[in-house]
Amino acid sequence: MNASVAALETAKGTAPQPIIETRGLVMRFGGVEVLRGIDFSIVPGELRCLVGPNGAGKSTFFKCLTGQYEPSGGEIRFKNESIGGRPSVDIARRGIGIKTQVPSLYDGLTAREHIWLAVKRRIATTGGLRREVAPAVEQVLESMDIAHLADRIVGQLAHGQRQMVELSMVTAAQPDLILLDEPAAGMTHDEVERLAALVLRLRGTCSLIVVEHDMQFIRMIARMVTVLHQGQVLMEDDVETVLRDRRVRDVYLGKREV
Amino acid sequence: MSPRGRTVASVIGFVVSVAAIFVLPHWLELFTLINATIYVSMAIMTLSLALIWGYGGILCFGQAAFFGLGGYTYAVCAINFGDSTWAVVLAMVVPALFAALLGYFVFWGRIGDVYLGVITLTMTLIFFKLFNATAGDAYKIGSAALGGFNGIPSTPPLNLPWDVGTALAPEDIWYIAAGLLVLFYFGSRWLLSTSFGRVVISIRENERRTELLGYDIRRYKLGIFTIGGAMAGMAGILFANCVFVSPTMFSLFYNAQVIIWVTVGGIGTLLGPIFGSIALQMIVAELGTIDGLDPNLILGAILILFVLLVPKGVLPSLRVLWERFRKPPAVVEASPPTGRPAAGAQKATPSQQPAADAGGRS
Repeated sequence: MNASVAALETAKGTAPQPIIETRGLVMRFGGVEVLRGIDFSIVPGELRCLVGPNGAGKSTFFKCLTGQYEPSGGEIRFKNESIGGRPSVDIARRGIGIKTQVPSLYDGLTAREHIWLAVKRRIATTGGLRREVAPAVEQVLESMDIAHLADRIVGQLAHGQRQMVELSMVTAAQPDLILLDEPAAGMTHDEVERLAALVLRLRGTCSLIVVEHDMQFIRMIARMVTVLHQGQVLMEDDVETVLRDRRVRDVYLGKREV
Repeated sequence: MSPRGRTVASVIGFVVSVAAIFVLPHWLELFTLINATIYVSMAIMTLSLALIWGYGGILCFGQAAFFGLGGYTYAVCAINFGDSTWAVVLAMVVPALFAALLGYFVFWGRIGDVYLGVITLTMTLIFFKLFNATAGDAYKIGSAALGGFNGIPSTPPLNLPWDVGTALAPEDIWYIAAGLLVLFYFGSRWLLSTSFGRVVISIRENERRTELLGYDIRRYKLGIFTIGGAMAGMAGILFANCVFVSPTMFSLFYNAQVIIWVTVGGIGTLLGPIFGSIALQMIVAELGTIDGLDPNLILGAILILFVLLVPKGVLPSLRVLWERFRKPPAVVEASPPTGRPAAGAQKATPSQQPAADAGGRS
């Protein structure tokens, strides 16, 4: 448990309120039930990894959290307010940022313009001044180590660089909760290590939910892991226990459950 | 081009265009000057579509509806008031309000791109039918008879603000039209460089992403769509001053040709569509005088040729050629996998050039 969480706990004298919590979250598409009653919660400052085989419902879960899908049932609470079914814009302004599985960027714009869009929105929402925007953009470019890419057109960048630009854009908005959908996908080994360092640095400042398949990467960043399988939480425990678990191996390797 | 180079180019362009505005009336005969004024009014309508389609990503198939509404509002108000001052204001406000109303339903209802095209096209055709059916004395607004298919032939010309005695001559209308085109062009460039404009461009690039960053994209789309409507309304006023208003302003022909002009000039640029529209109008008018050649056929052939041979449009393609001519090796260079690229090696690929320029170069 990191410093901020511990501080919160002592202040309240109890376990901290979850920053995000779902109860019995259900998502149906026609007759197909993709999420079948998910109970999930994390505390402020926590980094949680979400794993599970393809089709387990991880991306659908993220889309429900960010308002891209309206849940068919159940509740989503963020900072103690119900947000299930609210429009994406509203949820984004409340402080949830997402890096989607397929990189979602502006291919015709420069990296600096990406960061500008995020910073501009944050400063407008928090009632900051217009002249604060430009220096804040430069600061993000520096701290995320993408200053050398600032004037490049993002559509032309290599895959790993694009991932970094998207991640920088999401963090530049300074959300309270960041959802990362397979951030390490397609990255080289060095890039994955840099990414892990970055994610660990973020952990002190906000809460994160990270969907990943790369076990190496999960070991680098996570303590607690939640396993989704067929739209339900299969188990929730610390990394080593989860990775040793027989059922988890079975669902990943596709063996039928007994 | 560096930002400084762009500024220099803008200043030169501005000086040249102002010089052209003042020189042309001395060169051209009156008839040709009136034709030139029509071309310029059409160029303003083209600019409005270049803005909302090329930068806002909103493919409006019915831009002529705002053009026609502007023309009719101007004619009706000018006849009733006897003074064109408020007629001009209303002829921009009415199309803008109509665009805002339509945009509200379309954008808040989250209507997809294709349906937006269908809806806007249907809307302009409804106006076409509606105004065609206004023949006879029953259809009068105040003292202005709408005149059905014939339109309003007695559309009064502009006068100086609040000075009814000074009906403007065709030369004066030319100065106003050409001046407004320059003003709207630089105005559009300025608009695209503001925060509003940059967010609008981001929506064209990736709507979902902008929304997930917390921008209410509906407001931005509505804003640019409304501005486009007002601009097209202004084009309608100028057109009414050179020709007269009639239901053909709403016709499929006007809607189609403005889309062709933008496509040929280059989507995602402003200057391309302006010059594209003027050049194509001149070409079609010139070729149309030859016996047995249908101007529509020519326009159609030009569109097909461009879509096949120059799909990006003239201006973006010229830029590609210019980049290639200026520094041959830099264009083929791929993005370096690691490390910092040399300062000079950061040019965009041709295909991404227009978008990269955003409000900058065009």
